[in-house]
Amino acid sequence: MGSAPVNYVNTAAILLVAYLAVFIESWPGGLRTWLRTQVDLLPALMVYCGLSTGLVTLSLTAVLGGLWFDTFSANPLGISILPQFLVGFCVYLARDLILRDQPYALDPRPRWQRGGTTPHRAFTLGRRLSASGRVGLTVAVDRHDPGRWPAHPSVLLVLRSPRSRPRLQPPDRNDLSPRPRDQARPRLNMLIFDQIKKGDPTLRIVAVSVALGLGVLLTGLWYIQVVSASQYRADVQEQSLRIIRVPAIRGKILDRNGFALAENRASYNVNLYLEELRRYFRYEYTNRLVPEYRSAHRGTRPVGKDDEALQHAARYRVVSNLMLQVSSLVRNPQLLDEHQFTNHYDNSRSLPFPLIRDLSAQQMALFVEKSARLPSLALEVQPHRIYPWTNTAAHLLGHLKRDSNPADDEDISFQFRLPDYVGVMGVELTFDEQLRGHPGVKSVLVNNLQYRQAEEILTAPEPGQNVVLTLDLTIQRATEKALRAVGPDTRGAAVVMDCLSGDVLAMASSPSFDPNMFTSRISEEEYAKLSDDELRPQLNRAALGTYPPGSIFKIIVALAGFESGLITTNEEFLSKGYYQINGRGIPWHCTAPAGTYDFDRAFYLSCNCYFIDHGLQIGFERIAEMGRRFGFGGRTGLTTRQEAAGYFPSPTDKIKKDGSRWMPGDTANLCIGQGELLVTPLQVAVMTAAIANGGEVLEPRLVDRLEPMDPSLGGNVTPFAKAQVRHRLRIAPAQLQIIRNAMLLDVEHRDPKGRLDGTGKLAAVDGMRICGKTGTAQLKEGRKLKEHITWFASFAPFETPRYALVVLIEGGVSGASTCAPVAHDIYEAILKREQQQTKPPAGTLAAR
Amino acid sequence: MLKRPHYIALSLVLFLVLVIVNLPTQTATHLKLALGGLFLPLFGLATSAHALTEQAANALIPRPALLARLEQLQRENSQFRVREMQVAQIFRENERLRQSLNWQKQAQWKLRAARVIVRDPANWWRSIQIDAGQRDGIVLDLPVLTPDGLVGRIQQVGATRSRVALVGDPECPVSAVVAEGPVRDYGVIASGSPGVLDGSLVNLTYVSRPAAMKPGQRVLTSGIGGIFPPDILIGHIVDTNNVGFGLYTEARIKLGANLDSLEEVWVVLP
Repeated sequence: MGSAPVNYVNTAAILLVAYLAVFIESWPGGLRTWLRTQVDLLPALMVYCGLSTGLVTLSLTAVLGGLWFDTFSANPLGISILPQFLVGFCVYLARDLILRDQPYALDPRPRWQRGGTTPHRAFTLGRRLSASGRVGLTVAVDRHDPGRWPAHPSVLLVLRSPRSRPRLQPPDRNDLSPRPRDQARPRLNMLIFDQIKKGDPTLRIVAVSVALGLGVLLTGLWYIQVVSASQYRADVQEQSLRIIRVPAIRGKILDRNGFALAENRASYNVNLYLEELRRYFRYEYTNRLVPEYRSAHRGTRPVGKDDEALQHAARYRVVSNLMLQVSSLVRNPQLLDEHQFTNHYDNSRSLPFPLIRDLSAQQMALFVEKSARLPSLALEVQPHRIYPWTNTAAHLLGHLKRDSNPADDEDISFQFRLPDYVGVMGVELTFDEQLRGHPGVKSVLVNNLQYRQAEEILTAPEPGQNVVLTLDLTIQRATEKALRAVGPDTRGAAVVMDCLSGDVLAMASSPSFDPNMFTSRISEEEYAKLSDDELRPQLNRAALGTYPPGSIFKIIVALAGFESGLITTNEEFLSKGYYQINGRGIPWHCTAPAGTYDFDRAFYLSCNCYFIDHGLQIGFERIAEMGRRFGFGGRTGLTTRQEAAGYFPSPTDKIKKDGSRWMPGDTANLCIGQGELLVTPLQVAVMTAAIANGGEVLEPRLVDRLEPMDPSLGGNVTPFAKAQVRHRLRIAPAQLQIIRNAMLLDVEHRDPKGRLDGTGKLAAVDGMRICGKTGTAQLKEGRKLKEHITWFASFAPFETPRYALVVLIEGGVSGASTCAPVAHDIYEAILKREQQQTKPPAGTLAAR
Repeated sequence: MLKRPHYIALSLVLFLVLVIVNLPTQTATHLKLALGGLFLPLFGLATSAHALTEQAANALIPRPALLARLEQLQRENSQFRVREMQVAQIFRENERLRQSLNWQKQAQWKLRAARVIVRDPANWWRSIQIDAGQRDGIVLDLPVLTPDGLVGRIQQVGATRSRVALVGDPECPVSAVVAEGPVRDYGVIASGSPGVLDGSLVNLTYVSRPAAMKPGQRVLTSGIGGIFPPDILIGHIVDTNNVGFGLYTEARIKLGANLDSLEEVWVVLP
């Protein structure tokens, strides 16, 4: 083989060099130790072989060198042979060209060795090593013996000194004589056209036939490539490319101090790449299932549906075995869901099949260390939404649900969508678009069997924005803790609001739920608890629960009375302990004892008789008008829009909810916060804040700003305006001060013996002067008392009001005994919070 | 233009490659071992030459230097003896406490020393071969270490030689844990770090909590993956990098063991 006889000595020498080269590369004390990097010597040897040896030597060197190399490497045996061979083979094929067409260089050998004036050709490979010097590698080819050329040119590798002009060029351009053409090698065009010109008929027939055939082919090609191009292009794209929606990382929800209320954690999943399992499918089908089928069907081969069923069974068996192996490996044995696998195979074959989801740290460790020999598996990461504080602020934050068909990218037709989630309620719903960011687009090239061939990210997903709330995590948790302290399954709510800015610092509703449940599987027990009709854990009682306000409404009656001049602080009123309109009819009982009351005493002892009597004098219209000024009967403007308007009668229409005529008894009920009105705790908080801040009815502010997920990378911050005033009460400051003083007495008033005797006394906290008003409304079913709705509306500190706090408990004993202690706990936490810096509360769940 | 001999050569080589590459794994392993045997004389020669060179170099060390070295070693020896006494005391105390708590006794490591005889000549693998095989009780997946830290795991076993996949090779993923910090942060060392000419860096990835990782912290084997015993030093954190907007963290680890100049390693026997 080859154009020259094999020089065995030369071949043996080259193989010895290859052997030594592999040894030098592999020996621990070899080249690597000296050079501190691995140098591969075999390609250089193959270049040498290509230039100087025949095909036999070249092939032998490639085969043996590659085999030896792979022996000491982790490479599959034989994998290096072909690359080595191709290097040498390409050089071998082009060596005439390489050795003839390079510029001349000086023959580095001494004159006596050149043997005459025969030109020697050489080329120089070199690079500048320093400004002053240059080292070149010269390959000089001995053409002294014309008989040996081109089979055995001698090649010398010479390191030579810098030349004056470090450029590739002939030593003397003037002496460059034209190279004589090798007459024994006719040019290519001469081979073809000269023969035709000579009039060879056979050749002409062949040429015409070929030309005709080519014409037919070219016409067909033109039809396919030009006429039907667009159709084919569309078909091919549809058949071979799958456009996949890649969800972006969802933005975080943070409290006002930057502590995460909702964030993402990595979920580690084991995915299976089906395309890499094809040979296992084929093996299972050919070597196991088909023989079984043939033995059961008297040797007939499976066809049609039988064949399809066998192929499916083969795939299922292979994947099922892998599932069992992997799940056993991670000590969580699972069985493959056949329906799920079939569905994935039929519809999303080009996507990896999720084998096991959400590995724990230990499972991940087991998987990575022990799965090295299992095929086609990959550990992949997906963001998983978590609420690190579980139940905390769950109603405000809301939760997510899995949604594989979101409607935010209608302009792109996706074939597949990777799992994504959308907000269902709360902030997650209201700011869903901002939190979700923009999905990315990935294209997957699939083959005719719909298996994945390659993939490319066309558009990278843009992460969502962070939503920074006005909530204070510490106060929120303290509020929820105080509510839970009332008892198991407490039905209630509490709102803490900044009186001056309207910032909602805490909004709690009890019972609560864990929003983490919705991003994983909900057990039946959990679902039953979530659906409980009485507890209604998903209801945000603070904004969506509507209740009769009871005695806290006396604040409105008092303000209407002050404004109309029908209530004065000095005037005294004699209470009999009950009240009858015009001295007859069903009496309204009073929890305050019979006796003489001025305004302050009537307020802090919550005397119903006083307020009914004065309310009837003030009249329904003035009271209703004052209530409207505080925003009762309308939504407060909470950002999440998930709030109820409640019910409040119109001052102009003296009709009731059921359309019947308004009666004086209804006004009497209204004066003590019963009957024809329903309010939310949030509305009461807005009212209390307005009393505290001097008459501004503020919009509750829940969101402080939207910011980029990583603020350090820049991007726009969208702030939400503070202290948005919905109404100004236009009430004389002195009258508001009377109410504030009366609310202080409700908590701090002492009897002659020095004991606290206001209804809100249990809310008192050392170090903070609290102003409050208790309320206890009756909730009836028909004429029967169902339960009490108990309230405590308050603000603090008295001197410079900052916090408005409203507590509501369904089924409590009274506002004084049930809600005031809850407020006490919350104020204590607020006081403590003010005294400490903004640092994360103890027991942070982020450490879980 | 290709000629007939060219086609023949190309076809023969292609055929040979196809046959060899498609050999069953076991046959290929045996073939590798057989081919590797061809080099044994050369390795023996090189080792002897190396030893001779060392001996010659040792012969040239002046006597005062040797005496100084001897004195230093004696000093160290006495220190180690004292420490051994302390360790024995701690061991006894540990035994007592374990018995009182009914704590499961940790298996003692059985170590087998082995010499590195071959480095992987290919740049894209991190593997070595050692002069211990099945005859020495070596089986697949055994951890390999040096006193400076983890080296890798046994990837292939022959009768007298074994291949070790080094830490950072895709064939040697390790479950790791950051030693210092309030809680144990687990991660995975699955690949080498693409550092120019620096094989001593590997990537620790999938660490869930970024805050706890700081440069200089030690990274140990977690011991929960079932292959490597716990608390073997892997290396120290060089720097960290947040991935996926804080979804998880990656860190570059400077390996404790110098994989570029391994001469002797220890295999942890079962």
